[in-house]
Amino acid sequence: MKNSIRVERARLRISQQELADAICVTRQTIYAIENDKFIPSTELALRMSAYFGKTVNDLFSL
Amino acid sequence: MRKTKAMNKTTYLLPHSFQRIGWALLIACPVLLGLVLLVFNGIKLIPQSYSHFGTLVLYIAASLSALFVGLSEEKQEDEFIQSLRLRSIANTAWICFILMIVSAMAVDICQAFGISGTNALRYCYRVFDSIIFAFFLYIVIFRFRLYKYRKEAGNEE
Repeated sequence: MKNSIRVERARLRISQQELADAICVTRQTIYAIENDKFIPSTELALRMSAYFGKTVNDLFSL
Repeated sequence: MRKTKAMNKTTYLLPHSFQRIGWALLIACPVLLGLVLLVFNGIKLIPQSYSHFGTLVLYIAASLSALFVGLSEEKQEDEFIQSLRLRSIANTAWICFILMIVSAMAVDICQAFGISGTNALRYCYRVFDSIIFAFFLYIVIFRFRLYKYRKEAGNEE
C-alpha cells in the first residue's frame, strides 16, 4: 500500500516528531508508515486524514 | 489530539514503571548468581543451607525481571510497537521450537551412538524448553527491533 504522508508532511513543513506528537504515536510509527514498513489501522489512518484535512483515500492507495 | 478508548487497548501490559523494576532485578541477578556460586564453590560466606534458598531467589528474580521487562508498556505504547511485539513473539516461538526439536534430536542421537556430551545437550534441551529462556529471547528480539527502528527514524528529518 502506498501513501503520501511524507508529501503532506512536507507541504505543511512539519517534522516526523511533530506529526507523531499531534496524532499521539511514536516517531518510529511515522517513519515505518512513510517507508511502507507498517500499515496503520483504520483509526490511525482516520486520525492522519483528519490532521491533514484530506480523505483516507487521498493519503493511502493500493 | 485526545486519546480515544481504542488507543488505550494494551490492558494486558503492566505500567511502564514496572520496566525499571525489571531492569533493576535483571542487574541484581548476576550479583545474586555470584553469591550463589561462591557458596557452591566452598567459599562459605553464608551457610550452605542458604544456597538452595539463594538459587530459588535467583530463579524468582530472573523470572520476575523477564516478566516485568517483557510485559510492561513502553513510555509511549502505540500500535506499531504492538506489531513489533507480535512479530517478536512469533520469531521467538519459531526459534524456541527449532532449538528444542534440534536439541531433543541431538540428545537421542548422542545416546543412540554413545557419543559423549549427552548431559550437556540434555541441559541445553532443558534451557530451550523453559519459558524464561523464551521470555529473555523475546526481550532481546523486541529490544533489537525497537533499537533498529529508533536509529533508522533518528536518521530521518
